[in-house]
Amino acid sequence: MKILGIDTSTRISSLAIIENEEIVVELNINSNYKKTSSILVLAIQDLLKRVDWKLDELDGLAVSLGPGSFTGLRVGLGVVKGLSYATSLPVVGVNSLDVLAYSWKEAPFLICPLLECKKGELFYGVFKYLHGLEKIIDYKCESLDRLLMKISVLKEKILIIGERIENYRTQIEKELSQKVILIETSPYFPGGANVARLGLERLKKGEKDDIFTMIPFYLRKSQAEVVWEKRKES
Amino acid sequence: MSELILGIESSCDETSAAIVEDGKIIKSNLIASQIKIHQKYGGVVPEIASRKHLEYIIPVIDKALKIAQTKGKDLSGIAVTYGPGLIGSLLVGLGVAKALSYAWGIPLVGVNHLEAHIYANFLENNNLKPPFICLVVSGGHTTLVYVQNYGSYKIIGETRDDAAGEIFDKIAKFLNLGYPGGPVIERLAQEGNPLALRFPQPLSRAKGYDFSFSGLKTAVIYYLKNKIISREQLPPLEDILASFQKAVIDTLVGKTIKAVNDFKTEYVVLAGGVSANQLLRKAISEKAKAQKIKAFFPSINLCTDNAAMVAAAGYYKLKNVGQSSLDLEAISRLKLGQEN
Ligand SMILES: [Zn+2]
Repeated sequence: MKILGIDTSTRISSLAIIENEEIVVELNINSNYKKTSSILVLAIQDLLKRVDWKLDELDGLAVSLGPGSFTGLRVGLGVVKGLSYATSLPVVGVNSLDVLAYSWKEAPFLICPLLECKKGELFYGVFKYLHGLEKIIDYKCESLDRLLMKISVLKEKILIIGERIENYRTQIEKELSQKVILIETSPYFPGGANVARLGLERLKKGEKDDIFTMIPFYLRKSQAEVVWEKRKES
Repeated sequence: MSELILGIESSCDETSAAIVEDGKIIKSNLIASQIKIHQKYGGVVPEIASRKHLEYIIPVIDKALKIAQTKGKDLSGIAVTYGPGLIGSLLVGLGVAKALSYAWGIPLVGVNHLEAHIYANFLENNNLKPPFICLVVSGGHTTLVYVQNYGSYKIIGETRDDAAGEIFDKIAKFLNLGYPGGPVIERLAQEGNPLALRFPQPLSRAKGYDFSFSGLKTAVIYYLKNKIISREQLPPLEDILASFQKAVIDTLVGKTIKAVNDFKTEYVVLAGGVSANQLLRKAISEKAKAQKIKAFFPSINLCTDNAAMVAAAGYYKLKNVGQSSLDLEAISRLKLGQEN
């Protein structure tokens, strides 16, 4: 099966086409989100040209639903919705933290992927990979302090990976040096190839999403909603 | 053979898709409005607007195609607003439009939202031809445009601060009248005396065609606050609102008619959400009649943001300028005449 995978949850937009789990072609672009939107459709066109396939020769579209950059996610999902509407190709959404954890599934540790959120908060989750991804701590958006507090009670060693981890290195090592392994090397973003692989798993199970109702996994309300709810409580 | 254009509009808080034939005949024009969602915040919240656009866009496009009994491959073009507007909102419509254009193999054409508002008038009036003066007036814009020819524009005046629609919203918010402010103020003002109070009309005597409304807004709010603090009796709310509305409309009409006289055009045209205001329509019509020129304005449902006007503008742009590239960028502060 041929699957196009797209991730736009971080500042690295990543696209790949896989055929039965093997990467056929892959493209990573480091740019801002506004640029992502201007190049994404051309990049897809370019990717297909390289392998000399037509869009409708694919078997499905896999897209990262987040968490991650709100704008990035909307651009990715908007484009995927349009492609699917025009071609009737099935769409499967996957969680970006799952994808990042999946990239490190061979590691014999707990896996904690981080993605940048706004205002000193991080998106994260803690996973264990045995026969599939198992969630130890559910997806969250919290400060580094709270994250470290939650990790500190876990018994096993833990691998932390993610965007710009160098910014958090000092604090993490100070508080949890015995417990954690920090990874700064690639892959530190959810790549298109693994989006496609996780999407393929869902497609094989006969699952697919509805482009009429599908939305990103924001995990955080808009600031206006947060303020509104606070005011209502008080 | 007739040419069908799919229009897509998502620049602010309305998600809209339309099918227009030959730039003239509206086959369908669907609008998913978010007004109710933003009401409790007293204005459009950009992040919420972007989220809603992504939810509504496919259902709206699908319905527009179905009502028009059109298949994607029958289209001659896809026209989409690429500015000005809220960047996050624009990106949703643009992303979907590009994907459809690529997947169906149909030309994409990026349309300026202000140009689209002007084209709402061509959709309904065969007699309207450039050159003319157009006042584009809404919650986001107050712009006087000299339309020299199809696709050829000169901005001759703009607001230096708030848009006219914006101060209706702000006054309504101050008085707890809800959002949007335009319709509710217009309704209450009908019962009031527009000559009861005199509010300032900044720049109305200045040279040029620029507008300024923040001074008027401040004057109304100060007036209300002072009365409340000194416990003086307030005149009826209807009178205050009627006088405020008159100040806005007099300013708009004054500058617009001045432009018509200076540029010696035969037509004067209104466009944008505030052009739904009946008093503004009446004032422009009367002035125009007195000067023996013709006034045009869109029917009410084409005044607010909609995709039929985008499709109409796109039809002519495709013919005269050609298609846009698939790397077309959304431009939040896109100016008329600054086309790609
Ligand atoms: Zn508008």
